[in-house]
Amino acid sequence: MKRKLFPYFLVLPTMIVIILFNVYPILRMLYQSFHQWNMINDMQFIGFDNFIKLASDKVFLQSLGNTFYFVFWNVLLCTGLGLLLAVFLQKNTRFNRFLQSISFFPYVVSLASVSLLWSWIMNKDYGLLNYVISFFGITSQDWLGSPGLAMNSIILISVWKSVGFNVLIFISALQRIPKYIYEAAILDNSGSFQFFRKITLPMISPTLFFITIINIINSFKIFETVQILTRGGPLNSTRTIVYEIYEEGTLFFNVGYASAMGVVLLVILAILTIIYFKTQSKRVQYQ
Amino acid sequence: MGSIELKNITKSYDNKKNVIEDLNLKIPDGSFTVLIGPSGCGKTTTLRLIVGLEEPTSGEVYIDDKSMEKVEPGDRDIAMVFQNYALYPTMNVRENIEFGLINNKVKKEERDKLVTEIAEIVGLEDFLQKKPGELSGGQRQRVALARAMVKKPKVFIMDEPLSNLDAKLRAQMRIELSELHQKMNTTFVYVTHDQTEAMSMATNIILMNDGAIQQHDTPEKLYEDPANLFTAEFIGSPSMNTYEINEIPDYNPPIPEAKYVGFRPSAAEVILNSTSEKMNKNDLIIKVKIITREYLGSEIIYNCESGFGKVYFKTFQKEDMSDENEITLYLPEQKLFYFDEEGKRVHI
Repeated sequence: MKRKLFPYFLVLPTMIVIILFNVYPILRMLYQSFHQWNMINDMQFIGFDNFIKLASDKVFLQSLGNTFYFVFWNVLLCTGLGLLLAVFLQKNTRFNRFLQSISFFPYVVSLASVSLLWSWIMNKDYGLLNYVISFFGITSQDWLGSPGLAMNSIILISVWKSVGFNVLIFISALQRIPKYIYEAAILDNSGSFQFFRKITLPMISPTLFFITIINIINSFKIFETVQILTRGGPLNSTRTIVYEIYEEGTLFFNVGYASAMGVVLLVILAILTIIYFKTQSKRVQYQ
Repeated sequence: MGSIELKNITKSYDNKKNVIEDLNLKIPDGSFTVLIGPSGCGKTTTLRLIVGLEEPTSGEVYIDDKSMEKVEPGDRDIAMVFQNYALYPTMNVRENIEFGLINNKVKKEERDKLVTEIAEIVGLEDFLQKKPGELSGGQRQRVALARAMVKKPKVFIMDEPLSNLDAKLRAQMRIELSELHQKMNTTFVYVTHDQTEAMSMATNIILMNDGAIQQHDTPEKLYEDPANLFTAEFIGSPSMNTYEINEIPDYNPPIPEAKYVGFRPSAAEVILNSTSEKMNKNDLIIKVKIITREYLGSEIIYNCESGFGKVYFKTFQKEDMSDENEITLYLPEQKLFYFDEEGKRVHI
């Protein structure tokens, strides 16, 4: 009996931390989402009212749409561009290692600094970006200030920041493909596209699977760039779920309502992850 | 057709020391040629140069008298079996075999026919839907063979294909490969460091050391008529006993330039009464002390110590000599090999 209990005793400190700081807050959020509370008065149970209100909240629905738009393009570009760059940079030469480091560099910088940097680059009047495109005869754009462009600019910044991380992970996966398999394929007269489709892609599929899920989850949490660069504007065009939660919860003190949004986000992520695992894991080739 | 010729090949990596220096060799069409040598002797590099996976630093490779300088590896009509098989782990056995055919735009019906045919030859009919990861070492080996055979190449290249198999399977595959060679009637080029494989399968052996060819001959010639000390010591198991002549007491070689003398372990005759006389003045008589005895069933290998070094000898006689610590070995002149200062063979 003692032998059986001892391991539980050893993991107890960790379990306490996990329960206290992971499990409890989530349950607490769930609990709050069924209440009305402004952090001063007592909590008031209101059933599903918060969720019913959410379903017809135009701003919330718009931020939900914005978030999905952001997630779709951010995941597609980070993963696709990351893989493409990795394929070009996979050969282990000094020049490629230099390019890899450069592409990874933005990942190390804090998002706040990145945002400040890009607010300068994308400035309408004296920004670097407008200066560069003026060489190609394109007129100045209000990158962060026009409703049609702002979200795309946010996506651009986000891809710029995290594509290097994707590249790094993909390169390590590509370099794990043994050299002799390439050689066998050369002797089998395989073209490089055919090789990529039939051998490379299936062989790195576990990594591709992992990266996509990580990218999806991270993308849904888009917040800092929006908060620093656009504050959800212009015309709510860059308002995202997490930014909305932040505003409702910490600026307007609608804690119950913000919690309900948090629950919606949680459910969306859970459903997406389950669907993704169900559909993709069949195609992933673990050797 | 499938003759190979290497002309003045030199190969170095990153301009460092030459791995192969001025190599010239001809591999005749239809032969089973084995490249053998110790690790790092350049045999695998030579193979890769023929296939085109490496480019020579200088010199040229010819297949059927055609320069391969601008011919891609995939267009050389060569198939290769890799040491670790190099199967595509994400494809099943059928797809592995078919991949080259698809790339060469072979029609579907033709492809199916070829795959079925090959699968039957190598005995893989029941495994076509399996992934390489689900197969045993021997089965993977067969897939690798099938993948090479299905292309019906002019030249078959194998890089230590049996080294990952267990001893019993290896012996069986040696016979199967020899049969395959007879059946297919194409050129086989085979790299190994195992002389049993070389001796048992080859029609030609190319023995290499330090990036240079030591001897290129039939297995019989290599064993019975080694061109130099290296060949003499490399081929044969246990290897030839070789000594510096001036270390052997009371022995004068018949050839003045001979610096080394050697004999095969199987050549020594045991004399039990040690008072025997030389029948010929060039014969060699040595007194040895038995140290260990390896009983191998049909033969016994004795490891002995003489005044001038170790002596191995092999006998098919069954008498037990382990008690008899001191024995005398008699070697007639015609069983002795002489080598000069550079290790080159000198004949009487």
